Amino acid sequence: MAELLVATNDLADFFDASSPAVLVGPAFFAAFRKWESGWRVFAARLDESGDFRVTQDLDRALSPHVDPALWTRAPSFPAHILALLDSAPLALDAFASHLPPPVITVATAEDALARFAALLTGEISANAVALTQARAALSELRRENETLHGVMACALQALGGGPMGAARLVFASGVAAEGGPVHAAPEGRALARQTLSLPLQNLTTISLRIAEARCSSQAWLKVRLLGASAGLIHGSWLIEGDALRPGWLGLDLRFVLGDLMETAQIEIETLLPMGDALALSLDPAETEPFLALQSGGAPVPRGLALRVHRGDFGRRTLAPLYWNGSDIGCSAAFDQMPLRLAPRRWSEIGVIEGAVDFVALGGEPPRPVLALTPEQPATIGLSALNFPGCDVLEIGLTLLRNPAQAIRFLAELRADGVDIDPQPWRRLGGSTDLFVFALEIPSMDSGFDLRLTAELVEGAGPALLELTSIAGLRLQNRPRPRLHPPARAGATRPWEEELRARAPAEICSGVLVDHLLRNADDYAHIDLTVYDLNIEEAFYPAIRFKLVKTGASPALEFRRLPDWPGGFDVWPDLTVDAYGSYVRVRPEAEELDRLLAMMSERDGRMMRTLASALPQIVAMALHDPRLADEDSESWAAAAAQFAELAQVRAATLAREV
Amino acid sequence: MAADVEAVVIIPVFRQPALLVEAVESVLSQDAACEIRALIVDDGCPLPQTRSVGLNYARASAGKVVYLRRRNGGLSAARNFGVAHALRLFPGFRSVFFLDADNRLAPTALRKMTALLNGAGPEIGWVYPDIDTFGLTENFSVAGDYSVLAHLRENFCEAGSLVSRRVIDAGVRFDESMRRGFEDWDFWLQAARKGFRGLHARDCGFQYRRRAESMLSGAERQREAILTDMREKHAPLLRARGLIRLEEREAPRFAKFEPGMTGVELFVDPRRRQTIDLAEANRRLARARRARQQAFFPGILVFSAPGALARLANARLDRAVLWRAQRLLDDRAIVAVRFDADAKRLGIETRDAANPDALAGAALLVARADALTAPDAPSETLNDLFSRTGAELAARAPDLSLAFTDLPVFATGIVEDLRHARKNFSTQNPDWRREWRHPRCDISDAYALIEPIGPVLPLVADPARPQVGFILPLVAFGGVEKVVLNYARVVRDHGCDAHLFVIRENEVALADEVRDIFQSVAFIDHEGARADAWDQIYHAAGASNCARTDFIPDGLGLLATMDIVLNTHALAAHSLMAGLRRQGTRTYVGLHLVELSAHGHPMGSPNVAVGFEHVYDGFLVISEQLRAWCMARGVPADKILLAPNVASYRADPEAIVRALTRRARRSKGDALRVLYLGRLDRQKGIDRLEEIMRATDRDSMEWRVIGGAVLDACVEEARLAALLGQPVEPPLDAPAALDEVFGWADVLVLPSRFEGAPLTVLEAQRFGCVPIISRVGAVEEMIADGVDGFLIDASRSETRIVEDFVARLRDLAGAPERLAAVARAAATRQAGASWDASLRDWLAHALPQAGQTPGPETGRHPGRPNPESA
Repeated sequence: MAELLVATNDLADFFDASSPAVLVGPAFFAAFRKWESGWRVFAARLDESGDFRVTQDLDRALSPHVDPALWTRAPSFPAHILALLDSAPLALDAFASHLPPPVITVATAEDALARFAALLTGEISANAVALTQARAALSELRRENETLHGVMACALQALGGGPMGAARLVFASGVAAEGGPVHAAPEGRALARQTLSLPLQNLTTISLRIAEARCSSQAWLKVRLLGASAGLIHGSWLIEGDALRPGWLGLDLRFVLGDLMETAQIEIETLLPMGDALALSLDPAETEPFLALQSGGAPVPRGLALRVHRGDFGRRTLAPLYWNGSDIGCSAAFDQMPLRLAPRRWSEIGVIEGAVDFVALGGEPPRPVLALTPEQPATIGLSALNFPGCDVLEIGLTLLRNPAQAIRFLAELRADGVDIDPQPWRRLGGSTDLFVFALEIPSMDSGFDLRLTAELVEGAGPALLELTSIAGLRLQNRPRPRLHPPARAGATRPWEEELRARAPAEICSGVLVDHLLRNADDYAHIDLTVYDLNIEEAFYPAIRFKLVKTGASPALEFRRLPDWPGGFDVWPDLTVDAYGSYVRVRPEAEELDRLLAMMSERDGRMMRTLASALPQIVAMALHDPRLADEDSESWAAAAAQFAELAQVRAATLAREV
Repeated sequence: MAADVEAVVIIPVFRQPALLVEAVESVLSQDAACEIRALIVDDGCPLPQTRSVGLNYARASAGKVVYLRRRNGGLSAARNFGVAHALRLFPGFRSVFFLDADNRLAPTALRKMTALLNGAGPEIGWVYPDIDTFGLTENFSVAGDYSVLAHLRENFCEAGSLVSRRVIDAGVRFDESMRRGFEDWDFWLQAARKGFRGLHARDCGFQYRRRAESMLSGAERQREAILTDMREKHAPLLRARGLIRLEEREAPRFAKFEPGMTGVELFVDPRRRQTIDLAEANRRLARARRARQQAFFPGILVFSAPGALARLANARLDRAVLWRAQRLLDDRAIVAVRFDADAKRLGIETRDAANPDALAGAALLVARADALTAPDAPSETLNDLFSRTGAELAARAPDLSLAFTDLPVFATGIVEDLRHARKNFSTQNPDWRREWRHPRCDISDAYALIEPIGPVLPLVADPARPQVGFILPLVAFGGVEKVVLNYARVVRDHGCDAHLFVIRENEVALADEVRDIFQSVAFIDHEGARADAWDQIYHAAGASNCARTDFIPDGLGLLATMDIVLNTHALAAHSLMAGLRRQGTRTYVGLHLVELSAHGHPMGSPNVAVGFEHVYDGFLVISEQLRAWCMARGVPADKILLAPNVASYRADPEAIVRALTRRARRSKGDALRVLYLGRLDRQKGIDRLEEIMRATDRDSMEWRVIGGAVLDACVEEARLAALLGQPVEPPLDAPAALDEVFGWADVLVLPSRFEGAPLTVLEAQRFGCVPIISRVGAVEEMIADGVDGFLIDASRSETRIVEDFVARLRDLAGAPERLAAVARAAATRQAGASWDASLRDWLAHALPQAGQTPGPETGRHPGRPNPESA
């Protein structure tokens, strides 16, 4: 059977299409070789045995001896060979399946060169036409791309400018009580990674649990959120050592991620000087090895204790705490779209001076309300703010009572204890009861602190001034000089706040106090979330509720909101107010029975579990520094009423069985 | 075209020039740690743009892209074309990726996949990605340990996979005749048949373009037709004896717990068990619960009293007991297996679980894992479960007894441990992608890909030893059974494993002999196996209604692991032969005699067998007469194999010598010792015997009559006893007793009306005991009349037949020299006979190279049919 044989040394060149190529009969080879420039010529002939031989060595092509070691059988002719030029017709029927190039018979080498030049010219023309078409297609694609970008920008602005969307818990691993397994960061620098069993799609928050943190300021913890397929970093946070505290560490993304159907991964990078200790809680349940924290040689594969939340795309654009923008390398938000202060940051607003209440309506985070009298101004503060990529800090204030009165307020920014861009006093009052003003913030990598002081300058008081909103904005075409943080001038930071300390509990892994609200009319509530409530084989990853006290009458309030975990399967006896639907449960046997009868078995079990654990939960919540001034006995008594009722109920049930 | 090119991406293209750009760009964008080349194979695309795009990339890519063009031959041909070029252009390449022109790769895809493939063992032939689609966006999971069994049921390996050079070097290519789709599935099955396995590459970034209409959706519409062709092509992979090896490796059906053992034994064949520790067992169980499509844990738990399985193996009943228990678990949750000692019999009996004590005294408890350990399993005691949905099996054999009463307590403890241990494992679904595959707990459905088949007997054979199944309706003391046992002994001695399958009964006699010969004994306790309604007529003979569809799956399951089966007189088994041949089993039927009805009408096994001639590879007959009978009824001569009977038991050579010596010294005055040995019924001419005894001179003859009524009640027995002056002696089966009686007798009288090739004649001749027998059946092939025995014309009247017998006896009584000469001739005739010689033709037919030792490289007996061959 006839073979297409190519000299082994020339095989690579034969199939290399980077330059045009031509096959020529031996008679023309010398001439083509002489003029070879930017293209390749191969000598080709049908030998006596019917094989077709191709080589760049004319002698080898003409040799009657075929050393098999020097020739390779090629399955086909390369498609880029322009032609086979020879002085005599060649019968290549036996090679029809190899798709030989066109065979052109010419008399002389000059004719051959001329024909070859014509072929080259034809190729160039064809490529030019194809190139023009491709450019036209590219132009059309660019126009469509621009349109899409514009539409996308409008859509994001519309979404981002509206009410902030809720975060929904979509992943909750198990967490052990005290003594559970941990990942202890080693001394020095270390990296660990974990694959999650969910995609990046619409993620907005991840939370880790710090089991132990005795870290100096030189230590740090970096957390990154990656896509497993492409390896791109979508979220990155850097927490300095002295900001690390035991308990849940919530890390928000700046934006809700898009429809990224790519497996999410978390990367943990730590730097621990000698003597420091940092440990992250692990899920006590064994998992698949590929879902475990890959840090080198743990005997039992376990993942981190994690909570992961999703949100609606475009509806949650935040200025996250600890955000490490340098990892992401992406620009800030679209122009004029606000980066709102993260909800949990509102709970960290500290009262520096004066009478300040907090108002939490429905499921919103609590807003500080400054009560002003002529004698008593009020000052509040918030530290470690970071609005990366933003030019201004937009602050909204609302005068709640007696608009005829006038107040003045001063907003100050500090970084490292040093004032940034001193501001004048501003007035609010008269016909204006809502005021939104902006402070220019230079772009800087470190955070800054905000302090707001308000005074009543007209009227008898009391005037109520609510800090309604805090957000960062990027302004179009603003030069953004980068400033390094000014050198420390030795000033202290007067507004440092302690993070919540959580005592390890036996019945739950932690209690997160969202806020305490106390009103003048003897109403108070603690808004809190219990994580990993575990009693007698019942386990609940998270339950949020308010323990309400109106005078001496306690109640439990459950709100039906997307970001309130642990709701009921079937909501009994819903009440509706301006902020949504809720259930209030009082510690009265008859009422409790009535509600339990309306609930599913699971919900009833949850209620009983929660009620019986309430004293311990409240005891843990009272450790929160913001509740330091509270009458712990009265709260404990409120909780005890529920626990007592639950125990009586349980005993009754046991007797009935 | 460098020798350092490690990975080649072959991109076939036909009518997709624009999308080709994305595919090629994705290859050029690879962030890989090795050299990669793209081979565009233009499969004769009529669109000039394809050539233009391909050439431009080839020209502009500095050698990283090669553009090839061929005449249109389909996707398979295009891929193979690319492989052929890759072998020549990049001789050192280590892997090849098949990227369709409308798909894409993420920049890190090849880096991840090559790292995975290069770091895997040599049996890993390819790594396959998740199926993440774009266009119509979906994400399908293909996670989990690779399983050939699962791959036989559905294809979860995209063609877009990275294939090792080893697979290419092994000759695996795409089937160019498959142009309607599923050619990638066929490719993987070819690789699996050569011993390669796949490996899942997680999150590597392969992107599959999904449009409303694709070649795959076209293939789905023709799915059944394509699958039929594929199943025929890969039949060796789908046969039970191959699947059971896969099952043993990937999805062992049993998990055994035993007091005193720290581990858990996983197995299919109870004689081949692998141990894992309890922690690993818990881990596998948790995985199987959490990801049903990705992981497997045995579905049947076996709680065993110490040594119970070993005792059952000794009794050869272990496989059959577990098979029967598995069968019962179709609609029961738990089976208690009790042991009963029986010195003479082997058997398995099913009893309804009416007896709560059955649980307490069980030697084995066999239970469905989901009934005990599933999260939603009701929390009831083992006793309650047994009462509600239990069954009992009783296994019977010599020395089969066990004193252990704490098995239920032990089992309860294990179940509690398994339930409790579950809480130590995460219940999170390990994969967010959509799962679409069948659960692995149903993986044994792969057996039914050829045809419906019940649970397969848990036997994983030694590949070097052919497995030969002997099918009988029963095993009592009949001649047919004795012949078959001898067949089995010879087969065993020729390097095979012999197995006994009993169709009509649940027990066998000759327990010790059966255990000695057979590797396993199994029973089909199925009503369909006993159904022989003679309502179908074939060739003027009654045929059995033995095509019961409910019986066939069970029967196939029991026998499908055999390489060869011999069916002797089991009517229902005929219906299994077609299915067994599709499983690659060579099938033979053994014929011993053509029976006659009471009216003289021919009936019986041979008549039924000729109706199934087309599903048998051979007919094993015991006489020339039967051979002629078969040929007369259209059985091809080349299919008929003669295996003349030989004495059924091994006689003591010294006893033979003593007998022959005594005969040589016999004098004229010695009484002629006359023996009748056989059934006492009309077929055997027992009425004639009575007349013969009456007519003979009791002074010159001593009579012994030995036998019992089997077929009919014998009214003559009392009269015979009166004639003898003593009761008729009971039947003998002990070799020493038979030696004694044949050594005692000078003459054997068989006035039968009907015979095949009676073994008694051969056994008597061996001792020089001269047979006098009616000329019926094939006896004239066993006796040269007047030379080594005497034949009495059976066509004459009853009176004449009796007279002829009497005359012959008187003649021999008065002619000791003649008697001695015939006796010597008879002994000489049988001295050279052996079952080995008798079965030579059959062994040569069934085992084409019988007698050769197994090949050491393959571990496969060269006589075994090659499972790889079509």
